[in-house]
Amino acid sequence: MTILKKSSLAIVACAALASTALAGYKFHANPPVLVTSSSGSGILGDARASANNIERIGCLTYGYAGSTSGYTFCSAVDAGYKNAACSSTNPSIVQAASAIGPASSITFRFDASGTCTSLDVQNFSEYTPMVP
Amino acid sequence: MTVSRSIAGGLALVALGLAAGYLARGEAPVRVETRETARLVRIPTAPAAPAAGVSAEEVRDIVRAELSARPEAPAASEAVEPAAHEAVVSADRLLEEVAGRGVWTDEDRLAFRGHLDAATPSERGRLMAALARTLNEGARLATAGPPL
Repeated sequence: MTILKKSSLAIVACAALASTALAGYKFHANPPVLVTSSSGSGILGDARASANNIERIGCLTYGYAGSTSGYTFCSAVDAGYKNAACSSTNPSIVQAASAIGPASSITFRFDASGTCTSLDVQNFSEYTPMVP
Repeated sequence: MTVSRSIAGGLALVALGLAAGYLARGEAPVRVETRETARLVRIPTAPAAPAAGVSAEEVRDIVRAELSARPEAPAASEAVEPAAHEAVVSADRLLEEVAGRGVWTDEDRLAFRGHLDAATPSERGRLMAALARTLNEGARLATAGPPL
C-alpha cells in the first residue's frame, strides 16, 4: 500500500513537472479583436475563444479564371459590433492573405475607399491556436 | 621598352576616351554641398537633344509609324457583356439597400457573390471595395459564416 501511494505521488509529481517544463511562452490578445477607423487586428484563436459570440476576424482569398490577380477581403468585428473591412487585388496583399493559418495574428489597414493598404500576418508559437 | 611605351600610350588613350565620354553625357549628377545638408541634385549640363544621327522629325515619324501599326483596342463599352453590366448594377443597388437597412446578411452575401461572379475583373475589385466601405460605414455584419 505504501509503495502504491509513493508511486502515485511520483506519477503526479512527474506529470506536474512535465506540464510545467513543456509550457512555452503564450500570448493572448486583449481584446481579441481590435477595430479602429482604419484598421482591424486580432488573433484568430483568441477571437474564436472569446467569451462573447460577437468577435471575429479573418481574410478570404478568391481566384477567378480570366483575372490576372486574386481578390482578398478582410474583415473584423469587435465586441461592440464595430466593423472593419477592406479588399485588395494587390498581389503582395493577396499573397500575405494566403499565409494566414489557424494560429495567425493578423492586422489589416485600409483607406477611405475600403482598399487594404497593408496586411500583416504573423504565425508564432505564442499565439493561441483555434480550438473547437 | 617600346612595348611598355605602347601599353602606356594605349592606357592613356582609353582614359582620355572614358573622360571624354563622361563629359559628353547629356545630364550629369552634380553633388551640391550646402551648409544645411548634402544632397545629390541633377543639373542639366547640355540641352536635351535626340541621339546623334537621328533628327527630332525622324523620331516623330518612327513614333507615328509604330502607333499606326498597333491594332485598335476595343472600346470599353464593347468589352462589357450585358450580363456583366447588369450584375454590376444589381450589386451596386444591393449595397445601397444594405447601407439603408444597416445590416449585411447571409442572403445579401449569396446574392452579392452571384453578382461578383458575373462581373468583369475590374468591376469585381471595385464592388468588393464598395462592400468593405459599406461595412466600415456602419452596416452590421450578421452573416452566420464569412462576410463574403
